[in-house]
Amino acid sequence: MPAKPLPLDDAEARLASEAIRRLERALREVLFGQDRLVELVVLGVLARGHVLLEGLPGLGKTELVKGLSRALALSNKRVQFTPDLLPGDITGNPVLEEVDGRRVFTFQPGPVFANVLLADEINRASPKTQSALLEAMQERSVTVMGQTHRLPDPFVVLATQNPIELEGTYPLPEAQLDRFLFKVEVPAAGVETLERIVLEREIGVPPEVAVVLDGHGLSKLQDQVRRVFMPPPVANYIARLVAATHPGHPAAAGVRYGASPRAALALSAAARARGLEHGRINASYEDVRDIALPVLRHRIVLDYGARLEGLSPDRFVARLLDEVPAHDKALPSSLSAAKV
Amino acid sequence: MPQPPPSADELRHAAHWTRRVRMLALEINAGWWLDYWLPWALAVALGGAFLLLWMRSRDAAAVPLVWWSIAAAAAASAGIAWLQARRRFVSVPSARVLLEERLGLDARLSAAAAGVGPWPGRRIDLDRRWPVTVRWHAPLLRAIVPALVLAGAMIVPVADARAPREHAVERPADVAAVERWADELRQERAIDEPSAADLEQAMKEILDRPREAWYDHASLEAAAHLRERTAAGLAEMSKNLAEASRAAEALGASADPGSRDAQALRERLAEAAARLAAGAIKPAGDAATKLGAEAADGLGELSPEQLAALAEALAKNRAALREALARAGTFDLDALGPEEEECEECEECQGCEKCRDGEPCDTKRLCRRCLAKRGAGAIQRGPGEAPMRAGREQDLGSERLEAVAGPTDIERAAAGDLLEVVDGDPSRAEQPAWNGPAAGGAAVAGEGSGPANVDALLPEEKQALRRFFK
Repeated sequence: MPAKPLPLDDAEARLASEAIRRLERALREVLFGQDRLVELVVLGVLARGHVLLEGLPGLGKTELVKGLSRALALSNKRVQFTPDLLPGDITGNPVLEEVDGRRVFTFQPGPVFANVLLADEINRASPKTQSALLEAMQERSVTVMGQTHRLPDPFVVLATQNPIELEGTYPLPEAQLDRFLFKVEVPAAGVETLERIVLEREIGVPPEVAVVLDGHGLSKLQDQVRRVFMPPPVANYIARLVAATHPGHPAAAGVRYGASPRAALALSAAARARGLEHGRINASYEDVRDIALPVLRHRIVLDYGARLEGLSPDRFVARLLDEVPAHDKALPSSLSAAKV
Repeated sequence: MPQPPPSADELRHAAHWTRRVRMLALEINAGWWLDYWLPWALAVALGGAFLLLWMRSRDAAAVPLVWWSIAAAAAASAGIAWLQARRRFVSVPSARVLLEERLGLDARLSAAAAGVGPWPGRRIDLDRRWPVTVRWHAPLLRAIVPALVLAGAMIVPVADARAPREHAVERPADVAAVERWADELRQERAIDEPSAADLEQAMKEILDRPREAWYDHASLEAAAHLRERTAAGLAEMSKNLAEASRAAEALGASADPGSRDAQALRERLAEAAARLAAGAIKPAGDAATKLGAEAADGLGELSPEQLAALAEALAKNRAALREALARAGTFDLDALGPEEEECEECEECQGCEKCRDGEPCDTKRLCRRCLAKRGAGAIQRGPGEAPMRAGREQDLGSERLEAVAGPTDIERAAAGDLLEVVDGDPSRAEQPAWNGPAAGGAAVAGEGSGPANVDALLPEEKQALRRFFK
């Protein structure tokens, strides 16, 4: 059992929060009008998770990744996934080289060897290529010809997929979806945002991004996220939320498959990250509620009947949050809970 | 790394929040206990109210004991409710979750309780709303109801159950009526003592049955029959007294005792005396006794004065009978015949041959009987004595009869009153079944009620037969 990290103190939490806010501000200067998207991407990075972005083309997903890597002074790579993309094109290939008069295979690292990897339109690659990312995302290492190569730390995959033009795509299998901490839907920009984009951006000119943190700073923040205290009642709330997604639970009507234990871990890590973002030394119920939707929406498989009735994963999670309160004990008839 | 000792402020904050959390847990748990106990309290109150009422009606001195029992039951039910409510009770950590969630403390209380981070300041608690709101109305109402039930059980007037109870059962109306008649008749000395004793005996037989049985079908039938039989006997006695009185008076006034009229009057007097002697109810007094004795001797030795005195005594007897029954109030006085005393002019016409023969009398004011004989109308002429025919019971033949005496009540007619069944050849009548009215009206042979040949009956006659013998 790993040693329990020391809890944060208030001063550490406050400093960490300020650093996170700075990073978010920097990214908001890259991507206008997408504050929630920026926040979730930052939380995902802090929680050592990977983020799946779903949205139409041209919404700034690539710019966000570039901005993130620049703000953090991290290396970044972008891979456009296509049906003919091979696993080795991502992980790297052994190349026959002549060394000291002998021909030996030398591993040529692929684009996955970067701090921030943008896997663009990941659902267009074949399942075999998609699965090549599995080990990288989960183990943070790549094995080629029996040799394991560690990926740089920090390592974050930001994958995108397009909800339209689904012909010739390979929807990500549940196992792979489960490896993404968040699935974030990128909304279309509003008029004010578009106006600001028109005024402040030009095609072909990347926005300037100030470096806010370096890799070491990010790693420190990630460590601090692990040190954010998870109170037992909050852990119990997370456990009850995840359990309530499974068929057989009264709240899980219409669900074919519920969330996995990895979802509980994801909720915990993301709640901790959000707690630190808010300068707290502990995670809270509100943190869990706030990140429940991006954590759970891609981990719930609804049955056909529920989909026919118009139930979506988003609506299910919203209903779940209503039906599973933080305080699970009923109140007697003589008492009523005051509004929060 | 050793933790620095908590400051005094931190200790105060910790104590404050610990106290608040415990208070909240206590409040919630008390609410649950109340939820479970109030139905028990209502049940105890209802049972206690029943016991209180019962005990107040039996032994008021034992009421305090009932109160102690109610208190013990309430305490026991409180214990049961506590056992039932335990599974709903919230623990201190659970109450802490509710408190920190409702106060928006971001799980800081749970973290502080786990030793991570400081306790929030007390000001937060004081500035924000308490996490639960007490709804007093429902529990208060549910608590008031048992109290009202118990208070009602003490306030409601209760009769002493040990006091003997008399369930007054009214005598059947017919028996009561006959009883009143008998009392009045005895008081007026209108009937003789054996007749009064017979009436009392008949009433006694009915009333000796259990009171619960007074109103069963058999008792009511017997009472109704007694009343009818008594009324009929009294009416018969009244008519016979009147007949005897008139005959005696006319006989006394007769100039020639040997004449045919006098002989006829003598016979009428004798017949009336015989009917009086044979009646179910006999008149009281010397006049009736003397009349009976003289009738047995042939009425030959009575002087005109004695006959007049006898007539007057019989009339007085009849008047006493009427007066007594009038006082009783439930007797149909018309059944006694006309009240001759009301007819001042009747003195003149009673001896009148025309009147006796049923012909119109010349007197100015006549009694109802005379008026009826004259066809001048009367209040109650009855259905008459028209010859009835099977299947035409409603045809009373009244269009042919102006006045009838002794009408047959079709409602109460027995089968033999209208039809006669005889042995022998059904196609021939051996003797007339009915000889027509005894007096007054047109005499009709009455062949309609003679023996019936069933094969020759009309359809309606057959239906009438079926009804009678059903």
